[in-house]
Amino acid sequence: MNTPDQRLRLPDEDEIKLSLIDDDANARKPVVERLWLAFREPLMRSLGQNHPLLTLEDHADMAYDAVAKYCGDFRSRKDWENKPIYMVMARIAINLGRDRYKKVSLRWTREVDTVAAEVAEVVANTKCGEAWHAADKSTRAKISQIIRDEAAKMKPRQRQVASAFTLNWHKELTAKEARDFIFEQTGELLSLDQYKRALAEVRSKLGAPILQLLKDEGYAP
Amino acid sequence: MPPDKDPNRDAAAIDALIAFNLAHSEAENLTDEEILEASINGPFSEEARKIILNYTPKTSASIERSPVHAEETEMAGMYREGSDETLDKKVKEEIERRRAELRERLRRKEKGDV
Repeated sequence: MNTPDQRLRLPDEDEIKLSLIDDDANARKPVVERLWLAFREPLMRSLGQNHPLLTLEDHADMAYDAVAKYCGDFRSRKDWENKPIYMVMARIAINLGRDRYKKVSLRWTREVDTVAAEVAEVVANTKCGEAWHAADKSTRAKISQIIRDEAAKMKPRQRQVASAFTLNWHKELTAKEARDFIFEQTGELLSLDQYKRALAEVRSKLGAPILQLLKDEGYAP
Repeated sequence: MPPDKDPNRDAAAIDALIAFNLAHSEAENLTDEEILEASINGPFSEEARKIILNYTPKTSASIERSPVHAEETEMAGMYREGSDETLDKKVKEEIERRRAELRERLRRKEKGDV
């Protein structure tokens, strides 16, 4: 079995790094293509898991930008020299995803404590809240991961609706406002029926792990 | 206080937990192992495959720096493109030192020392 250090490592990483600090900028250009071909799929997988609400097109942009950024900045980053290429690149891609997310949801990222307090208020004195707080940290982390994995597997329309639902959860948008929001974000205008069906799917798929927790903790039949 | 019996409040609580878990990013706290795990076993649909196979870059290799990394890459823009001739003496020396180090590492690898 591979050790973590060996997975996703190229046999010629040092040669690649040497090309990236070459005097000739032209020598660096083919490296972008080489690394994109080698790492585009794992980068997409990682972004899918860590940023499930962004679109696949966004993931592809961020994956490519991470490769380009790695190649562009390598000469100035002494601290990258001894690190596996993929690990640095994957962290760049995840950070780019976080930046992209900030653009659509300043409130979530800048006021995370405030939003957390609002969530706590809504779940207080509910069966759901009791079960959530009774669960240990690892159970909560596991549920959180299941929700994100499910979101990543959703169809594009359901993903759009999940994104609108999540980013505007605190605003309690009407169906029309939510559809307008999706239109602004994606240029696609969903019919009321399409929106309702997608929202029902989102709630059912993403709420399932929480309902399972309620059962496990004895709060539901 | 015992849990509220209003089913609407529970439905709202489930919504809140879904939204919070989706929006709350732990990305900065990820370990290398977690990143590798997601990179190998994370979701990858047929649609994602098509998108990357037909992907046309929207940016050039010297992309705009993101705010998150601005401080980390403070010096990057100074010598990202072009030849070493335009570089400051100190920077040039540093790059030459790194090249020598990498070449030495490659020589040792060829000899089978590492």
